[in-house]
Amino acid sequence: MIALEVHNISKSFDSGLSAAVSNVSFALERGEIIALLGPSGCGKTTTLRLIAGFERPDEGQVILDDRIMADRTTFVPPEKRGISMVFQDHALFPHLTAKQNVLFGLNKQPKTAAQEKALGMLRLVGLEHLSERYPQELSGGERQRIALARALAPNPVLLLLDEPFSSLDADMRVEVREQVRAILKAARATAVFVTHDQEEALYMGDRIAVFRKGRIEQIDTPQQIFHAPNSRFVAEFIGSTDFIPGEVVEQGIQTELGLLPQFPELPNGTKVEIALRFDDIKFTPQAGSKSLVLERQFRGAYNIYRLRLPTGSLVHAMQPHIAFFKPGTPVQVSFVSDHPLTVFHNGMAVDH
Amino acid sequence: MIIPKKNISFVPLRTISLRLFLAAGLVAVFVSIPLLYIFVRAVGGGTDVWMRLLQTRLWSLLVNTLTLTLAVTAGTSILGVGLAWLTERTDLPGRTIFRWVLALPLAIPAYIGAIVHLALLRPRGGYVPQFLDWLVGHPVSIPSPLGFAGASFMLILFLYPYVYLLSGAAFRSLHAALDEASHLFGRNNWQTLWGVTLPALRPGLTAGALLVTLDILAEYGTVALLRYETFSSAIFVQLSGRYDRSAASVLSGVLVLIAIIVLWGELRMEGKAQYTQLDSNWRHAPPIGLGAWRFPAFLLVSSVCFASLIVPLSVLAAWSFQAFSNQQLLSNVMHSGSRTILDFAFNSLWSAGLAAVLAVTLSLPVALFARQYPGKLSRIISRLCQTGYALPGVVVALSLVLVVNRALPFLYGTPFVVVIAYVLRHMPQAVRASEAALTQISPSMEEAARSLGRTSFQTFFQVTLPLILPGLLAGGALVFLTSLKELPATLLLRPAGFDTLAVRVWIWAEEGFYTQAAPAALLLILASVIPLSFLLKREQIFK
Repeated sequence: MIALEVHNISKSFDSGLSAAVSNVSFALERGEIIALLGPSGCGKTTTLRLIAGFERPDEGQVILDDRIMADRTTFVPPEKRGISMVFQDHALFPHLTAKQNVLFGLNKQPKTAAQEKALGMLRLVGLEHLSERYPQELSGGERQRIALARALAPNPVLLLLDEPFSSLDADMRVEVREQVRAILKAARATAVFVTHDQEEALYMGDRIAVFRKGRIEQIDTPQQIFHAPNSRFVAEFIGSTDFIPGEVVEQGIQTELGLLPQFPELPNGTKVEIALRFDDIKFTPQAGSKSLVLERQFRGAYNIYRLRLPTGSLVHAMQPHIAFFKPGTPVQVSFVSDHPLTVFHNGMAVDH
Repeated sequence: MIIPKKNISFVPLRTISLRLFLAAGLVAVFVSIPLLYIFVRAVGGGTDVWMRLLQTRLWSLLVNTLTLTLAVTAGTSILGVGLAWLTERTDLPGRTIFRWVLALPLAIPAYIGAIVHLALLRPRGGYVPQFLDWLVGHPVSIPSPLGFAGASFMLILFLYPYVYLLSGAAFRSLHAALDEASHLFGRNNWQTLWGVTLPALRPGLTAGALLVTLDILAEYGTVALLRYETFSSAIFVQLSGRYDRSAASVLSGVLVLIAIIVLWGELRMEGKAQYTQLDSNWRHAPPIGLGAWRFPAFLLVSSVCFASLIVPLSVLAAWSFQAFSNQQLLSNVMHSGSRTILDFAFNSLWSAGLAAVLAVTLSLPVALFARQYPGKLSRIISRLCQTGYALPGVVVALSLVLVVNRALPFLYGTPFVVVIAYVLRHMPQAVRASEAALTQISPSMEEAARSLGRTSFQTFFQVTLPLILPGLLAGGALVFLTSLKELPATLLLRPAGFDTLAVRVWIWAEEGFYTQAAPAALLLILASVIPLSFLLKREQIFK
């Protein structure tokens, strides 16, 4: 059952204060969470505001539960869409208590029913005991959950979340996002989630749409996005990735780390790039090798080593937390050969 | 693709903006009519009037007005910034008390202060010369308080709080790291003050100096009392005495032009200067030790308080005491014809109160429009609503006399013309306050209400209005305060028998009945202290 359909929407601004979007399309199943991911200024927030009805698209359609919300002739104002939103700054009304904030969207229900529903929502987010507090008296994480309760209370067809965790301290962010995902799944909410944090997107999204310069670069499950990025941009943006050059030959791809047994459908002699994550390469010390250890970054459970290859390429490799190598140690670097690597030609992934 | 079942509604965004645009536009037209009308009349004044004025009065008036404006603006800037620096940034003894005592002269209209100082210092019959005479046994000549020197002195004394308050706020908002960074780069306290603190203070300082400049251009009571002729007092004489409206129009046109040039200059400076910003790591800079200068500084600050606050209040109190102890005088104070002092107070309160409510209400569509549709159009409307700054009381009066007579004759001779004059003149304060209040709330607040099912209209009343109410009250308090003190427009426009406290104090004092005027003057100051203390509390100068 499709809850939201966005068809080729485009929007540009004269002022240049907001990012433009062009030809963005995607559809969302009921109960699904999609994460719109991209660097700032890529149009992900504009897309969210177009869905909410705070902006009107220049082109394209927004369809919610089979009803047209916006197209060339129709524009349903935000209050008539049945969409709720959690804002970046939470936007809790400072003149209302936590409970009154949650009740704000329940004004069309009978009073006792609204009261019960509000209390139920507060219970769902675990803040029943703080219902009489004003927003100023709540911590960042509590405000976040009240904002979520307020947004979920009217049973929205669709919930929009605009960088909801960015105003929280880093140490709270992981905890709060686990709570929020659990609450959204418990409420069976359909949600569009905007973030610039790839780790957050990988955790929160059932699917991820990676934005670049107002367009969707790739839309897929987190696993697919991570393991099979379809462009160099996506690979670079999702997870720390290094690239080394290679050349297509008869036996595979020739690189400075040796021969990679993968066979892209490209003519021999074609220059390609190979994406390398920490766990894609391994190394052992070897006197006389021209690859060197530059630096060790201790990450607790493991070590990340920065290495310089003979051609000057810099790559990162993971080692167990007990493996210590001094900077300057010559090492022999090679591929970990248990899975195929992504290969790019002119910035786009190639099949193999 | 899915076939839509039905379109639930069809509301193009433009209709919302059109209503708001019309409201904002009407307000802008309303407030700019007097200005346009004055220019039309001034240009159409006729060459003979222009020639006559050019040959006789215009140049001397121009010189008089500009020298006074320059002297007082410079004087208030130095005094205001100096006092703000001493109370905010140094270890001056008693600074927490001085901080708000120094702002209180705002509640004393300059002409009431001038009445007191004139009574004290006038060459013949003044209290101070008499006292000196008695002390040394023969007449002693002291500098006359009349003319340029006296007018500058008294205006500086009662207008410095504008600069003091605004630069004090700027001092308070300065980040301690600014000073620390300057010291790390090897600057001492003195170099830091000139190289870092004062430049960062410029927005507050220019805003305060602008208010002073425009106030002097509009000032009537003080200069008239001290016999120093400026444009405002000359126009007043033309209007009330000789009743030469074309000459008054020509003079008004020139005066307004000067005010507009000043305003334009300030807006240009303001455009680039927005460096006072508070972030979460903000902290106070530690106070600077004055060392051996503590005592002289204390003396300076105390003498300012003495001259601008203690002297006027105690002299007025003494006069009032005299009035209350004399049966005949007391009945003169309490009654003037069939009306009592309570009637005057009531007239003052309702006219100023109504003006405050109207100005704030009218400023709302302008501020909302500017916020929701920022752009050229809203900027023009906002600027038009600032024209009141450039309209001295006498000019508003002149243009209302002419316009109301023609277009709204039924209003002529009612107190509502006075209220309209207050609104026109003080609209900019209301607009600025409303715009400031609106910038305090995040647009996401209103969007949240929309996404929870409220229309834009409901959103305004349920979310926006409750949140901006304190800011609106502050704007209203400011309009109320300045309307209470407004003298020339009230004098020229009031219907017979409509006396406010300001008018009564002026008329009695002009006739020399100081003791009789004193209780009304104290009542006026008291009524001004209430909105003023509300404003000062919001400024948080009590920390």
